Amino acid sequence: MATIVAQDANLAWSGVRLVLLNQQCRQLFQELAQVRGVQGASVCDNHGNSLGMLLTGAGDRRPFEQMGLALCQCLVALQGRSAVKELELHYERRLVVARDLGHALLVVWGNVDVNLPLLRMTLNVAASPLEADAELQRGLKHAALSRMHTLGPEYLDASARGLLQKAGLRLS
Amino acid sequence: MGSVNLSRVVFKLSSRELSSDVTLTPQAWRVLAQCDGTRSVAEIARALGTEEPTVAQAADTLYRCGILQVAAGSVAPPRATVSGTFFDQVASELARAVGPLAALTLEDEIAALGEAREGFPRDRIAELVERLGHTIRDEARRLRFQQVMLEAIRKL
Repeated sequence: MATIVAQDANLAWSGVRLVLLNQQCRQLFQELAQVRGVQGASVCDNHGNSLGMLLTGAGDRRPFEQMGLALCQCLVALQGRSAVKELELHYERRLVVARDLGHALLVVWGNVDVNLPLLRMTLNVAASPLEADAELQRGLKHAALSRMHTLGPEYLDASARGLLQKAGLRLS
Repeated sequence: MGSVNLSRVVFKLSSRELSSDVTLTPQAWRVLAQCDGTRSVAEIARALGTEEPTVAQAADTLYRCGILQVAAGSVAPPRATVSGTFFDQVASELARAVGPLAALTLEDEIAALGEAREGFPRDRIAELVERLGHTIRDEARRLRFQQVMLEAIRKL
């Protein structure tokens, strides 16, 4: 049975905005849970913080909580060169898909033999309400302004930042 | 998947990680305990003194859940296929999005996948729908098409 972990109230998320966030995430996760082979998913803000999580089985969720930051960094670095909206990669024995949702990032992980076209189609359909929700997008931007923040010196060491600059990214 | 078609299939425990919790019925557990990678579904049915369709149904469920996998050297389980009615629905929905060329586009994309309407494998339907989606230029229409098709795929 799938478990949905909702965002708790905090300084950035409270009241109507929090209700809206949890509602949109719940709808998205319920759709994803129907795809055979999906093991979990997470909606992250621009800084890679998890705002909601889907877990389809028992297990340690901590490794997945850190995936958001790494994938935010990958996405923003790649977007410096081209209009990448989605990443699909194999990590250990899992398939990981990251989808840009405007001011949020959706990370999905599952079996390597998951039906990818079905997963992509489900993502297109299920993520569109969250992407199109202007009120929620404002809230997401307010909570975490930009993904570029994840390439800052508090997250990356000098050599990593140097490589990004060599690749043509302008870092602050 | 028909129960008769699994008759000669030999299953063994899967080494794959499960994607979710699974609840086993007593019948499924009895079948699972017999799947040692050497006995076929028909042989297991005889060993358990249970009708073969019942064993095949349980094995099929365990296989779909990822608990069982096909043993090396076994005949492969038949792939589930899609009925012609489903393609009528696909053509109809596609026509709403792209107009009267929908039927031709559908045939082209089926052929591009190296398949035919007759015996089209169910596990490739999403791939076909995704390809058809790329032929719809209007984003809203493409999303609507995918929404309807997703519902239809879930009902298969």
